[in-house]
Amino acid sequence: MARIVINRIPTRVHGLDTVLNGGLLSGGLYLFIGGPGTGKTVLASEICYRLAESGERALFFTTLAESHGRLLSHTSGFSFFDDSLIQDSIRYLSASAALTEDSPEALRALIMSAVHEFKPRVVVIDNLEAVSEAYESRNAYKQFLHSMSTLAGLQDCIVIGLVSTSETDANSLGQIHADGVLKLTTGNRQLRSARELYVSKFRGSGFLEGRHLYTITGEGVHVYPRTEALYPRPGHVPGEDAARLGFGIETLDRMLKGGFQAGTTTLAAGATGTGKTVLGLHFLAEGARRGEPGIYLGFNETVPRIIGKGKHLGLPLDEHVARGALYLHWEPLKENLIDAISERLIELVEQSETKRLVIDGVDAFRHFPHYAERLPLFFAALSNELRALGVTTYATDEVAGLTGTEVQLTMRGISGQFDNLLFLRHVEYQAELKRLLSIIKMREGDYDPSLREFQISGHGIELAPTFESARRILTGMAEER
Amino acid sequence: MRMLIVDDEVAIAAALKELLELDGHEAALAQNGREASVLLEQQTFDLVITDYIMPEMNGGDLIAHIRQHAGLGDLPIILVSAGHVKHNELPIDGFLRKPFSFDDLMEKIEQATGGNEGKT
Repeated sequence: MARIVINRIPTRVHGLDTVLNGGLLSGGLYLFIGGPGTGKTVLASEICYRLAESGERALFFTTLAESHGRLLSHTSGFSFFDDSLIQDSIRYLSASAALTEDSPEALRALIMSAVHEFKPRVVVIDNLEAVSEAYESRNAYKQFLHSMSTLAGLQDCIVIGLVSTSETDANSLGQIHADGVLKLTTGNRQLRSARELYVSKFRGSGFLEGRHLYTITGEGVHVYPRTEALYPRPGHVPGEDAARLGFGIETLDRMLKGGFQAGTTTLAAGATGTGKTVLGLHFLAEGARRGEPGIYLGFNETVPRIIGKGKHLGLPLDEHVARGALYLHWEPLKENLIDAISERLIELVEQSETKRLVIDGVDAFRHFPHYAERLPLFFAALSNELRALGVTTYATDEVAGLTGTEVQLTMRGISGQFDNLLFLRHVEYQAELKRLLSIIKMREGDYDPSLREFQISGHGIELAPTFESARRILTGMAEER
Repeated sequence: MRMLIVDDEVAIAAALKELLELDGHEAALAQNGREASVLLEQQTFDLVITDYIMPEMNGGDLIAHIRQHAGLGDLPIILVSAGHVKHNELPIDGFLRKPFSFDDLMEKIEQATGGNEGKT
C-alpha cells in the first residue's frame, strides 16, 4: 500500500526543527504548553515571522485582553520582528470580542472564515484556556478542538494552541486531541535558571526524545538539542591500519608508533603546569604543517595568550591561523550551556573540515551542565560524532595535586570514553620539579609504555630518548647533572 | 453550486460544508449512502462528494445507486477515501485520497464540472 506523505512545515526556529525531525506536520493541531514566562508566545510569534520571511502567511488570534499594540511592542524587541510583514503576511486578529460578547461558536466561525480567506500556513490561538473556559461542556470544547484539527487538514496548515498552565494534566482534552504537544518549562537549578523543552506527543513523526535546553535572547528562541540524543550512534572504530597523527616530537611519536590513530580521542591528564596545553599546541602545529586543519577550543586562556605561548615554544601558530590551517576559539567560563558548546564545536569542525581538535580543559565541562550525570554520555556522544567526522581529538584534564603518581580524573566515568590516555606529572627531585610523561592506554595499537622525562623550552617539548632519567628520578638515584 | 457531502466523519463534513459556503456554494450533509439516497430523491444537487467506507450503505453502493437512477445518472461524483479503493474501476468523476486539502477538492470539483462550478 502506498505510503501517504504529509508535508512537513519547518518552524525555522534554531534547533527546534532538529528536535521535531524537520518540523511540524501540515494539517496538525499542536499545543505549546507552559507556565507563565516560559516563552510560548515568543516561540509561536517567532514561527509566524520566520515562516512569513520565507513567503508563507500566518494568522495570530489573541483571546486575552492584551491589546495587539502591547503584544506587538513586546514582540518588536526581537530581531525576527519585521513590521513590514504585518497585514500582508501576518495578521493579528482579536478573538476576545467573539468569546465575551457572542459565543465560542462565533470564535470558531471567525477562525474558519479568516483561515479560509487568508490561507495561512500557520494559525496561532493565544490562548486555548480562554476558549475552553468559554465552552459550557467538555463535549462542546472537544468539538471545537476537532474542528481546528479538521481545519488544519483541509487548509494545509498547522494550528498552534498556546496553553498557559504550570501543572499540565496529561488527560486534558487538548492533549488527547492534539496531534502534537510541546512542553516548555523554566526553573532554577541551584543558582542558575534552566529553560527546558520537550515533545510529549507527535503523531505521525519521530522526534528527539527527552528534555532539551533552550534560551530566549534578543534573537528569539534557540533550542539546543541534547547532545546525547542528537548523536546516539557509536562512531566507527578506527582500525590498526588507520593513519597516524603525530605531535612532531620525534621521541613521543616513536613511543606512539607514529602517533594516534586517525579518528581516535585522547585524554591527557595532569596537574597544572605539567605541559598538557603545550603538548596540544604541538599536536595542532604539526597538523597544520602537514595540511591537516585543526581547531583549538580552550576555556582558560585567550587567543592572544595561546598565540604568545606558541611563540615561546617556537610554534608559529599565528602563521597557521593566518593561512586558515588553524582556528583558535576561546570559550570564556560563564553560565554556558553544555549543548551550546558541542553545537558550536561541531559547526566549526564541519565548516573547516577539521582533522585535529584540541579541547583544552574538559574539566571545565563540569561547570556547564545542569545535570552532572549527563557527562559520561555527553562525552560518548560527542566523541562518536567527532569520530564520524574523521576528527582526531586531544583533550586535556587538569587533575588535583601538584605532584603525585595517581591519576584522579576530575569527572567520574569519562576516561572510558577516550581511546587513549596520557598522564603528565610533576615529580619533586632534589628541590626541583621534574616533568614525566607516560602513555597509560592506546585502545587501538601498540605503544611504548615506559615513563619519559621531558622538558619545555623555547624549542617546545623535548622528551628524553630513553626511560633512564625517569627511572633515576623516581628511584631517587639520579646523579647530579 | 449545490453539493451533497456524504461522510460519516461529521467534523470533516461540517468543515467542508462551512468552507464551501464561505466560497458561495450551498451544501447539504448526509452521514451514509442511505441518508444520501433519500436526500437525492427530495432535493436537487449539482455534485456529490462521498466517502467510501460508511455504515449502512457505503460509497460504492451509493455510486451504483446514482448511476442506475434514471434522473441522476449524469450527476458528477467525487469519491474521497482514506483506504485503498480501485477508483479507476468506478464510474466517478474524481477521486481524492484522505487527508486532502480544500484546494485539492476545489480542483477536483472544477475538473468534474468542467469549470462550471458557478456559485449559488
